Amino acid sequence: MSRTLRLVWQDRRARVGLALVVLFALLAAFASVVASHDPTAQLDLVGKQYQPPSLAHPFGTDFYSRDLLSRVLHGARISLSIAVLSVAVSIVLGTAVGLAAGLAGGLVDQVLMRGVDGALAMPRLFLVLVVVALWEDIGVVGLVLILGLTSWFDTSRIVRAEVLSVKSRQFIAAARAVGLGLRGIVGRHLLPNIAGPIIVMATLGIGQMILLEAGLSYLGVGVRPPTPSWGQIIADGQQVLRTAPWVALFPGLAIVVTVLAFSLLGDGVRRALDPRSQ
Amino acid sequence: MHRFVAARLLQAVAIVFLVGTLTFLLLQLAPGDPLSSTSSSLLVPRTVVEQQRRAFGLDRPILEQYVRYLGNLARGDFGYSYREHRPAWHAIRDRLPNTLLLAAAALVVTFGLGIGLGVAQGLRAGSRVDDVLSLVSLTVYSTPVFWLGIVLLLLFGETLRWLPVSGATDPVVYDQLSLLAQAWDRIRHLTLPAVTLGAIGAAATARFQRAAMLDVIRQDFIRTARAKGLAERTVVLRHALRNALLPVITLFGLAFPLLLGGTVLVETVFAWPGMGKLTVDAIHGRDYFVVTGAAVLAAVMVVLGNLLADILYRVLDPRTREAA
Amino acid sequence: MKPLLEVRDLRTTFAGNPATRAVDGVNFTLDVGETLAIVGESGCGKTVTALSILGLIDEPGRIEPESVVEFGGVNLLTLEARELRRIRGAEIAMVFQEPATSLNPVLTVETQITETLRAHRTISRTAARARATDLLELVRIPQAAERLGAYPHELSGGMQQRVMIAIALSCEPKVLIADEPTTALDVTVQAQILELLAELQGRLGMAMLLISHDLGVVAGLADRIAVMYGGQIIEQASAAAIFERPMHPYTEALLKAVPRLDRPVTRLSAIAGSVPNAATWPDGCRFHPRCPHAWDRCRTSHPELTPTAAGDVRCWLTDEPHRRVR
Repeated sequence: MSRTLRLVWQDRRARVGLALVVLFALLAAFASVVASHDPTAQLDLVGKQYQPPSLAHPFGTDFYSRDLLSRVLHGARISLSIAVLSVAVSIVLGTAVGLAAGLAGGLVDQVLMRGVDGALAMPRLFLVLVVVALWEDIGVVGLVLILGLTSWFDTSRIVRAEVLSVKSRQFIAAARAVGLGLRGIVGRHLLPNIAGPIIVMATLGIGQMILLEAGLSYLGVGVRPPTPSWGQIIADGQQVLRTAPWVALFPGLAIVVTVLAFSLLGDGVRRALDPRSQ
Repeated sequence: MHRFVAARLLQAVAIVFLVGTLTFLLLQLAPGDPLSSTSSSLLVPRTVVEQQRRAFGLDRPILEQYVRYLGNLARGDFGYSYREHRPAWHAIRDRLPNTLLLAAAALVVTFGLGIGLGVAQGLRAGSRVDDVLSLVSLTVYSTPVFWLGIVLLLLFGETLRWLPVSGATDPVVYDQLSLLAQAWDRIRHLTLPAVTLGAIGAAATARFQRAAMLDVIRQDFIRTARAKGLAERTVVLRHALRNALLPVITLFGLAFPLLLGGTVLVETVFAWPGMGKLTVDAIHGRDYFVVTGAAVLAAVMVVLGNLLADILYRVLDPRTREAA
Repeated sequence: MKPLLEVRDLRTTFAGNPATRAVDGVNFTLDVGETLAIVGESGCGKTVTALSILGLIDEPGRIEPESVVEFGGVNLLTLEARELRRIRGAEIAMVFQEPATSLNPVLTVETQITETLRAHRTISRTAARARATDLLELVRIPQAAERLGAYPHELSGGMQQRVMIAIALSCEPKVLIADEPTTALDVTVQAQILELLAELQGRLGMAMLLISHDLGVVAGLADRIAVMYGGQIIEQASAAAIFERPMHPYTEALLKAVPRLDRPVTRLSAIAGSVPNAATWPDGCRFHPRCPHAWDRCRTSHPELTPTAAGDVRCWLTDEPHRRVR
């Protein structure tokens, strides 16, 4: 593992990605300290509506005269939290199902994997939209659950494949021969072996999840106002694109840089784990 | 080959069947029955709700409901659209051509641009140009498709005024135009949404194609081709690309879900009258059967896309082709 | 008379840290109709030598600028890419070690043969097709006309190599470079392919550069043999001389590794030790760590290729024959 970390650190692109991820995580965590204004405070509805970027308001202000930089920073907190938590849900679930299918084999494996085939056939956004439509007002916790519950399918497939490949190797037979129980084999042999691909999937998954959440919030079915989220600020901004383009532009840039950071980091980890991949 | 196609078709049907089961489960798990909130709506005639309740057998045992639901889906009965006061399938059917047009145009951008870039990069791997293009494609891949649409719309629509910013046709003069001018009007309306949707896929394709190209260019048969004295262009196009395209065909299958998900967002940005925009409007208008119907149809399209990719791969790779 | 092909001071290095000197000052000539075999273990620079002749070295490899490959009075290594392509496949053709991976899996046999013809000659599609059938018959592929439409994976290894040979012969080259043409094949098939090469060479009157790790393979075909070690030629003589009175200890060792009917097999295994890494050749004679005769001089001083009555050899034993360990 330390060798992998060293390789990641030697990779310039991965280093940039890691630095940006840490920076955004810190900004999100301390948003209330860093941000100069309350993200929901209406500063001056008459005098400060749609102010272009300035020293006082680097990202400008919106229709309600709210400071956009503060809203983007607090949006980072919401968007990153949702992404990280829902990826956590999906990784745990996907790993559990993948382990179950791979270890049990037979009918259990068949049923689980055919179910996954079906779920993967439906475009993820449509699947989420169906759920959002049927459950209506879901709140942030509900959103995390929905996102997590609809995105573990890939993970389970990959984990299952890893389990099958690890299972066929000699040392598992050896561990079994010395009387190591199922839990021992999974904990001591299987999980360490599949940790690498899982970390890569999680890192890249967070980036994709940020995009998905932003899309939902843009469509008005994700995070509900007045809680600020990036996708929702962009949707607001599209209404005034000609007169106040900054409202839509800055949160979008924030998304691009954040997702790019996770992609750079994830690619770097993958390269470190598998030097053959370019 | 026939047996292969038949087997794959059967598999595709099974997956669609699974998707139907999935939506049924979701409908069952959802709070209340899908008609409860519509039935409280004043706009929906009581008799229609009752008729739907009977059609879906909501008063029957769950297993019967399930069989009935699948039967309805198989017959193309997705339920009733309360917003449009007609079957959900009809509402979707009217928007489908626009979505297919957008998706097809986006596919052209995705693969045309993606393969071109990927090949160019693969041939110059490690160079400065390659590095820059890699970063560009990774950045585009990290861009929310709807925001990319907004930026392009601001730039080419609002600021430069080169292209229209919304709709599929000009709302005022389209009907009075000649056939040729109508086609031109459609192309102008299609350009921004298709480029937006295609660009994201192109970025993914370029990354994939570059890797495939790098892999192929190291193979022995490329050295053979050079040793034969063939022109570099022939080596690249006939020998390298033909092989490097094979893995990209599988991407063609994978691109479908991404593409259809993207249509929902892009159609919303550009007010494109397609299935995706219909779905979003349906969610806001609580028109559930349109949402589930669109989702099932999207899944069918994904399955068909995968089927097509599988068959295409079979045809293009002689190693997987059966002896006739 | 001037030789058909002359290689002078060929050096091919691969960038790295440290750089790899895969071919390090190789000289040889090839006359019209002659067969020269280059023999040595894998890693000694044979294949890189062959590829360098046609300029087929990829990044990060590089042929040093002072190297010369003279063919028909011109140095191939200084030719424009376009001119060099006119030589490749037409004047000098090549057959590779792995027919399975050297043929393009998605193109038919016909395409792969005719594209060479059409690259070098003005020839119609039908004429090219007819010529391809003739070529397949020439390399003894049964039902040649039907095999034109086959894909490589539908052919056996021996058949694939025959197709490779047909491709190489399509433009009647003056030189055929065969790089381990039988290594990837079954023993019985090996013999057939070697027989075919010998027969075709005689019939078409071309010169052949035959590369192999196995002296047994080249025995029946080679007029002269050059033995390579450490990126250099360490012994070069007529085939008869090499087999009867090898001078270099490495050549002796290679010979002992060949099973023969006229003497009991003493040691079938390869020579003790392995070819050193091309990035770090040992000081002195490059073979000294594995040589049974090595003494101080071999460890510190690098011998040159020295002409003797029987041939050229790169060994201090020519100076001090009494050092030979009996």
